[in-house]
Amino acid sequence: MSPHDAEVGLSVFQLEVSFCDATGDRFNALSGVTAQFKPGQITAIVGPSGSGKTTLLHCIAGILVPRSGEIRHGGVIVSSLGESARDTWRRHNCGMVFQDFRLIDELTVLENVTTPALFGHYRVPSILRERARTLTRDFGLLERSVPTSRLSRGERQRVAIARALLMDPAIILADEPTASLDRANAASVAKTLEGLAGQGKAVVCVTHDDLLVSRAHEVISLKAGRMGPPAVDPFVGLRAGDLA
Amino acid sequence: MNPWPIVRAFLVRHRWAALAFVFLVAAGVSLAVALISQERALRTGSARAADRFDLIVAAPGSQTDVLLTAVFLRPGTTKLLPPEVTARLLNDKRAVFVAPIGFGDSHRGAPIVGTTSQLVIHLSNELQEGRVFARREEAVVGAASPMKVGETFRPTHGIPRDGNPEEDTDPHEHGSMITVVGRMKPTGSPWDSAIMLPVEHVWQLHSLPDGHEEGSEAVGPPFDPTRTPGVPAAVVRPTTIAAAYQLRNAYTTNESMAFFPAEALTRLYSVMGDLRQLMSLLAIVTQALVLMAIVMGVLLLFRFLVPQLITLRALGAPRLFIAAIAWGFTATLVLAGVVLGLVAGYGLSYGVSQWLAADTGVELTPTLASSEYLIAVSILATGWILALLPAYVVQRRSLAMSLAES
Ligand SMILES: Nc1ncnc2c1ncn2[C@@H]1O[C@H](COP(=O)(O)OP(=O)(O)OP(=O)(O)O)[C@@H](O)[C@H]1O
Ligand SMILES: [Mg+2]
Repeated sequence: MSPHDAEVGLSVFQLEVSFCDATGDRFNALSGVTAQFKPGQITAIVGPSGSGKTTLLHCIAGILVPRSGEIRHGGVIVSSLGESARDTWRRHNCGMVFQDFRLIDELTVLENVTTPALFGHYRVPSILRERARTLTRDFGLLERSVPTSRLSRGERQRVAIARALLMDPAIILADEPTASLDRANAASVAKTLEGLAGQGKAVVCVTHDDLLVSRAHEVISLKAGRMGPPAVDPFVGLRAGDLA
Repeated sequence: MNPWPIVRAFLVRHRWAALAFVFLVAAGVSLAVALISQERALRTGSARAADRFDLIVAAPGSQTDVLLTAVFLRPGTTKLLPPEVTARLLNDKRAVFVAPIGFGDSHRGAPIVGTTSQLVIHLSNELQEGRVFARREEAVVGAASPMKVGETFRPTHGIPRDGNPEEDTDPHEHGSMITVVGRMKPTGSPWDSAIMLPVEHVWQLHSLPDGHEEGSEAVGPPFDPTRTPGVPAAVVRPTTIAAAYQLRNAYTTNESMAFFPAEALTRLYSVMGDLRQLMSLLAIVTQALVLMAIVMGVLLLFRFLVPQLITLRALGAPRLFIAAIAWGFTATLVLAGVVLGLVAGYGLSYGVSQWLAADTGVELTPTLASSEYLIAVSILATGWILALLPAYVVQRRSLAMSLAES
């Protein structure tokens, strides 16, 4: 696959990321990672803890710049943009669900969900406020005006997902979005993500959750920063048939 | 882009820390402001009180004591001018008027001052009500006196110290009934609560020669040089500036001293210069403390804010938005602290002035002037600049690093 194949959609090419460990030695968190995240597909990134899944997700989001390699989206080479241009790109294109949620604990559920709307508006437009309400309701969250620090882990996770979806981004980057959820809620999140893929969005999930993996169209398996053999997903063929 | 909803949420959720910070800043600002404002109020207040006393002649001794006795009506133990000097002074032609001052009596805690109608008119710059005394049984009261024109009273011997007549050795009413015939305009000095009588009456009460022929009922100048008693002090209104200096020289002898109250006050302030220096040192120390508090507060608040600011960055928030939140939070608190400090500082200064005025009778009008505003503005500016620190640090660090750490 050459990077030019990915003029549309999102792709990463030969990513190399290295960090210094505690003793100061460099180690590769990602090496030679190449992948495509097609619009309309769910891509699951799997692998053991410490294998570089979050690192890859952060690279895609332009949070982390690889030592070498490229991240492309449409005609944009995200990895060669400056810091604030990458922030802007992320703001306009990515919905982020962080592994540790990263809610703003001082804000209420609705305020957290509508935070991204404040970046570009003086007040949250009523249409986005309405959308935030719908999202929180869909995820089974009660509209409570308490700071989100009081919520349970599962509730916080769902707030994080709702926030990522508010601006209707073309790319959804979710780091273990169902890790803290019970079966029912996890199923609802999986269903939502499927629906988003159905709308043509590129959905990338880091996950350990079989349920989510089973819905993925593509599975990237990482091991110590390297891509393993393409995971065989017994459901892919079946689902393709389902969708047809 | 509107950072305020988030700033407000931060302020609300961290309200106790925020309030503590605001109070710390306010306390420091108010102390510094009150110190400076009060020092000036004292200086201008006492200068205003002494303003119309051109030249004072008294027995040699401490100018400060005489000043306190004659201008500020604080009972003291001043020696008397010898009668010959008094007689010569009272008839000196280089003066528009020479007003002897006599003390020793009071009425309901208010000091009774024996003097001439010329001084009364001069101090008051025409009366507020009624007329000056023309007979020995008439009196003029100060602007703040509770007595009304037409009221009568009998003086009590002795001057109560700190308005506490019980401390007097032998308080008793004596002399004849006196009628209030006029009221002075406010002078901003302790004279506002005093009662002014013809000096002859005071002399008479204390069985002294009364400045006039035996049996005469005259009040005011000219005084008979052969029947003039010694006085604690006399206020002299020179005809010209040259005359003022001539008079001062003429009565600066072994037997008497002459001084300009304004000059004496200035000298007093310079003697108190050490105190003033101490006060400005205190003001500087409090300012330094405030700044330290701000730095510490900023660092502490910074800990609350940093993870959230990193989150906003991770969500792709514009840099200006993040900077505005980081800055707005601390800046709002510093502003609140400084404004509260100014108000509280004025309040404090006002309270101290009221208390001092009640105690001394010197009217003190505390003001906020440029130096106080300068302190406030400089603290505000420093705080606002320091408030940029979190914004700067958050923007500078690599986002991936920050995300991994917080
Ligand atoms: N900013 C950083 N500095 C140094 N090392 C880092 C940094 N970020 C990640 N690492 C290291 O890189 C490796 C990959 O980390 P990453 O967070 O991508 O793992 P992960 O696959 O997401 O693991 P998990 O499933 O536990 O979330 C780990 O060894 C981690 O310690
Ligand atoms: Mg991870």
